[in-house]
Amino acid sequence: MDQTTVKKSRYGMAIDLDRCTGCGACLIACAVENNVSPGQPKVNERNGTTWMRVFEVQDGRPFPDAQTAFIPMMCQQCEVETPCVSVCPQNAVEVDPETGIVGQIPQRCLGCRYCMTACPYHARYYNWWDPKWPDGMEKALNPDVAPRMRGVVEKCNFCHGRLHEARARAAAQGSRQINPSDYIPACVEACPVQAIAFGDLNDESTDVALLARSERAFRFLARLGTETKVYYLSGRDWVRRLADRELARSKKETLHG
Amino acid sequence: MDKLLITRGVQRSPFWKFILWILPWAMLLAWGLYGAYLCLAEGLNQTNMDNRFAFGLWIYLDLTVIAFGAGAFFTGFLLYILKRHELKSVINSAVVLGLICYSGAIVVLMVDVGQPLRAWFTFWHPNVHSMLTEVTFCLTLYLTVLILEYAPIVMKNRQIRKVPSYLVFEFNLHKLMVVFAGVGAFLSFFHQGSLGGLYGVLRGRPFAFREDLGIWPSTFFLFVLSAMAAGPSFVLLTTWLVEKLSKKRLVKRETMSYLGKLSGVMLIIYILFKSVDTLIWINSTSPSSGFPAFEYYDRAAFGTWVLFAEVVLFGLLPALVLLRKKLRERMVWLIPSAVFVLAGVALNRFVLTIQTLALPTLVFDEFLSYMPSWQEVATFSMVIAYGVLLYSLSFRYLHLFPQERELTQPY
Amino acid sequence: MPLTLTRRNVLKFVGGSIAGMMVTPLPWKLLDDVAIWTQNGPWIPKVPRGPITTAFSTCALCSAGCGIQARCVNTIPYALSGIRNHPANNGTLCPSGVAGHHLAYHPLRLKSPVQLFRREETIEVQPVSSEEILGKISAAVAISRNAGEGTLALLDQRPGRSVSLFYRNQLAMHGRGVYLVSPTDPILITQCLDEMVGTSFGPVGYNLERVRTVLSFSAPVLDGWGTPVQTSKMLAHRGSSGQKGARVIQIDSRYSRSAQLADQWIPIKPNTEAALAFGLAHVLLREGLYDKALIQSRALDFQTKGKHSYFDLVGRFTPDHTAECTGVSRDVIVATARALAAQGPSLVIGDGDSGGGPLGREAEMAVWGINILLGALGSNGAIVHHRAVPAPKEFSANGLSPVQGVSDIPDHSIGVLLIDASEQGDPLPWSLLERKLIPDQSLVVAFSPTLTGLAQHTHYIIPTPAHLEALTDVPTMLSSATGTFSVSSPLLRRPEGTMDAREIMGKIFEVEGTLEELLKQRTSAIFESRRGRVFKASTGSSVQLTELGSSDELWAELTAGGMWMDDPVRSKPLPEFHFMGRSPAAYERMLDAGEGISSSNEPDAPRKITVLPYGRRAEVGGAQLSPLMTKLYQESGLHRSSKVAVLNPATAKEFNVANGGRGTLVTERGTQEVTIRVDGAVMPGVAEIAVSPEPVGQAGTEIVQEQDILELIVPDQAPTWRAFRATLQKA
Repeated sequence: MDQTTVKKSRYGMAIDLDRCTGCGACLIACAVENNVSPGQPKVNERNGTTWMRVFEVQDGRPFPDAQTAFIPMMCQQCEVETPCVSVCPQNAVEVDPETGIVGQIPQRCLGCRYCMTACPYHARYYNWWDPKWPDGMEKALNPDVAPRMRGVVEKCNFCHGRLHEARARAAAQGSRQINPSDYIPACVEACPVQAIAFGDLNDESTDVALLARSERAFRFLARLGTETKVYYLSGRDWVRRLADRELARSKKETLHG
Repeated sequence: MDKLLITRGVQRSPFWKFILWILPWAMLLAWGLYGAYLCLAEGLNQTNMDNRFAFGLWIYLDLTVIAFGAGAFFTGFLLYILKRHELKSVINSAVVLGLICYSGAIVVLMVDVGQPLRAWFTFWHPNVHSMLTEVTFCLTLYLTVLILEYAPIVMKNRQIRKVPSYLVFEFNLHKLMVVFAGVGAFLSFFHQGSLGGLYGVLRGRPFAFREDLGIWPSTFFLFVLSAMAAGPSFVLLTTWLVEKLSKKRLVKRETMSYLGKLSGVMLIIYILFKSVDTLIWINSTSPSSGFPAFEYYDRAAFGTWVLFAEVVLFGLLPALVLLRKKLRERMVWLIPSAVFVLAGVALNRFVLTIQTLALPTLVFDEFLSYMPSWQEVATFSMVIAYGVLLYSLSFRYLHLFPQERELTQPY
Repeated sequence: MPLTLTRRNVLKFVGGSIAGMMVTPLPWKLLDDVAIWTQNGPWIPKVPRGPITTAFSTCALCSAGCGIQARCVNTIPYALSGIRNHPANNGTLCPSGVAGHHLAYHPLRLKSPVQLFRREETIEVQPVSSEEILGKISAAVAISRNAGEGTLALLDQRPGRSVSLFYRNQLAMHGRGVYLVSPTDPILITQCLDEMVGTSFGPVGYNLERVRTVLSFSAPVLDGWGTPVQTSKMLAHRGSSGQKGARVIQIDSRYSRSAQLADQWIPIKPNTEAALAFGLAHVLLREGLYDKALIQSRALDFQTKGKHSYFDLVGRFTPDHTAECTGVSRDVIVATARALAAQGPSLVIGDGDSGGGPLGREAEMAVWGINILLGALGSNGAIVHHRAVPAPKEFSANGLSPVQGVSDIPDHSIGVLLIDASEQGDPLPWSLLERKLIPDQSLVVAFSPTLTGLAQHTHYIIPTPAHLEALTDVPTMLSSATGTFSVSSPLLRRPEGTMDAREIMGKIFEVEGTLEELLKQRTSAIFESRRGRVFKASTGSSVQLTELGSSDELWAELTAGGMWMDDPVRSKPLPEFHFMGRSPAAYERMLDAGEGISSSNEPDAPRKITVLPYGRRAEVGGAQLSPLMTKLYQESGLHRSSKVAVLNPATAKEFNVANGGRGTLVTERGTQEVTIRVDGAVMPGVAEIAVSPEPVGQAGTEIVQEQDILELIVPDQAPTWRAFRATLQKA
């Protein structure tokens, strides 16, 4: 088959923070899809495994004027100088040049956690325990995703299992180009208020490419220069100022004169 | 039996006293082994590390211990390559210390990684861009070198040297010492540097991230320099401690003073570079990535005093003392200065490991704290106990201090 | 050269072989195999292998009736998603729904009947036969019927189902049967309207499409109160879509999700909603912002002069007085009332929050009162009348036991209490239920799939099929403008030892029949009504019911993720009514509710904190929480359990507790340890605590009693538990 007909993609997301209600459906859908096991009795906010986390953030004004935003945070799929890729001693993290997705190979991971210290978004999770499901529930695991054992790092990969399935479906129809509607990550699918757009940023016509160029779009810690592919949307000034510390500070200064 | 193993012409305490000394350390070792066993068998949920504090006590102390262990390569380099013969009297001790530090650090690292059985993957699928790959390669190779350097010391034992082929082997190894010293210095330069590079490359952690000098971030060179400052101080301090504990003179005062001078010289160079580096980082590197540097020192206990302590109190101050001949020749100045040097380097490793992880990156994230679990403390105590035991055995049965006979006889 | 077998030759051969082997793939393959072996320990579950299929059903976790599409391996569902274009959820699901297929594997799942023994902190269970339990129930039922000692009560956790009609039917025939629902049930809210009108007004719902302004009295309007489609529409004006949605004003003592998401949050002193409702009515009346002629002609207690009239009652709640009662500023009260009148059509929603307890009868009537003044109830209003979902005739022929709230029946009156917890509904403080039982003589049995929620307080549990193992219908949601009907068909085979509630009740009352027959009869009744439209999951579109050929065809659609929606009816004109209802001391009761006499006259030493319990729909009972919900509760702070109290920083300081520290809450009923979270957005003086226990991710060695904040409620304190007082100490 002709290689040149396969278009390179840059998959990305645009998450509307003005719509997110913080319900957590994305988080659960993600865990279901990727066979993340329920927490152990001693699990807590810092050693659990949630490939995506929803932060509840306030503007800092006191009762009764506080404003709240919910910020879903998962692997931001850094494109340039991807911090986790260069640090891994055994090539267990790779950026797929065909999709732009940062992939984690848990089977090769040593569990040194260097990538976790490298990630500015804290989007990487270590398996502090072996995965364990209540009796019988292992029969209800997603057949497309292998569970990971304790001692390795894992993270969001834009639902790799679903990408595989979409490719298989395309291949069955003799195409190398997947149908965009076949590849939708679980969180995007589940969101009750449809706050997440997903697609190929290289394709100008997709919703996500359009939204990424909108005036409301911004990225977190963009000044680190890692060119993340997860965009956030908000029309609220204080939310947009959460993007980095310099911006957040300028806000404080204007507030206090 | 015990007496027959002790080097001819030196006095060692009675065997029962030695056993009494060993016993508590052996118990500590056993406790540590149990802690390490729990971490290996149950997993790292036994520690208080978490997804945000992915590195903890172990990595911090590993870095510190490896910096302290730098005495082995630096002394070897000066003695065999630069022919500073005054160091001959401490080289054996330095080698044992180096071996303890490096082997101990590697043992702890094996507990620290989640999948120790996959440790060899680094050799199998190496990522040549990773500082950790560099560290792993250099550490394992240098540990081999240290074992080769330690071997002749063991073989010089009164009983072992009776085997003729060992003696020949020892002799041949000794002839190769220059090569080992050279290789050791080369490897150490890289892994000490790479350990610093570990943090300097963290683009996503602007508190640790530093500008490149050539192909390495500045922390690479700062780590090499600070390790070279810490190494002699550590040799100096342990020698002094052993003298105090064994109530014997083991090394000439001039050697002690010389070690102090080495530390002082390296330290002043280090502090100079560190100050320049810090200024560049505060004024350019950090702000350009959206992180005003003063914010780092605006949180919890980590005020600017940390920086002051690192640069002035534990840096400039001991350096100035050690550079003055009159002061460093007096033990009341020399020993505290050595302690300060080590404290400064330990603080530096602490700041880079712990403060880096405690500081939030995202605006809406919080400053985090971390307290090691007993299993973590135990596992590290295991290394300390192992070190004390190995050193005690080496001191008792091997000829660590060539000047000992000469220095103890007149008394 | 002859080959001689010398040691040297053997060694050479071995050495050569080893060296030669290095250039073959063998050792390297071995090395890789070792690598693969270290990849996953044999104790890590392997993913299931088998044919992949798709199945459709309806989620029965709440009454939204979301269509679900299940991906199955070996016919076992492994992932759920919403059905596209479904009128309730349009392809999406809430977190509970997404993990619905896990509920069958709940660590506290029961598969055979048990007797319970409550210990200090744990529960011990012993297996018993279902015959034994049923025998005990039958004997007790006979005693209740013949000797008249105590009533037979059935608490229905999910009223409105077809099986609920069956229950009411049987209880009516029993003579001393009582049909109970949680005091928070929406049916009781419409009962308040009935009390005002004097007769049954019939089912009502909300037509949110018509509304420009929504005023919510603590109802979680933007957080699972309506269907996902409704919530999405209400939030549509946020973000870039440029769509218009209703402006939502949330009155709430808590900084709830709806308060966070609403266009305006009006914080209010706990339990003073009635006063605010009267205050708003006061402004509407004073400024003439209502249809005078209509109200005067319909309202029977609206004399503008007489004492003890509605006019008199509301007259007391001047903006200043209301501000004093509620803590809401005078200006906000006036502005809100004006906005409701000016930016109509407006709708005022009472209802409260499913975990937080009912608003109270008087407050609900006060809310209906504003709705009437604003014209929301009437021909063109947003509150629409709809027809009941058609039901088999036998039910109406035999009579139905009336629906009663648990707090409405006398204390110590129940001899046998059956709790249908097969579908978990709104949470209920056990203390409220306990005092209705005849002490030491009553028999309490739950039908429940798991040992969670109220079932933990019973003597016996007969296990029922879990969510998606059971066949059940989904009743119409309060927020729905028309009647709806859908069927949750099983996607999983139910375990041997389980019985559905219809089977159990059939055995007790000796009535033949199955749930499937009952639901098919209902389906036939709907089909015969020839009304409404049917959403077909297979095509993703709706058709007229009359386009379907037979009742069986309708059944086939309904059991495969379909939904029947009744045709809207023309709203009735406003009937004659009493603003304050018709009960004897109506005026006094309404006044008390407004002035808050019943709850505020306690001495204030030592200083107490006001606990505000709350719940999230479909996340209020342990059985409804998938083990994976640890992701939302323990592994991220997104949802909070009963173990966390959220306080204003000033309040935390006042009670000497710190963020992240532990505190102990004490009432007469007991103590509970909580972790303190400090949040500057929370109202001072209160502690917001969710009613949900923590989800159970893994089975423990023993069954630990659920820690539920509702256990601390002292039942005599107030008719509602939306706010109660407790002491808080540093633990």
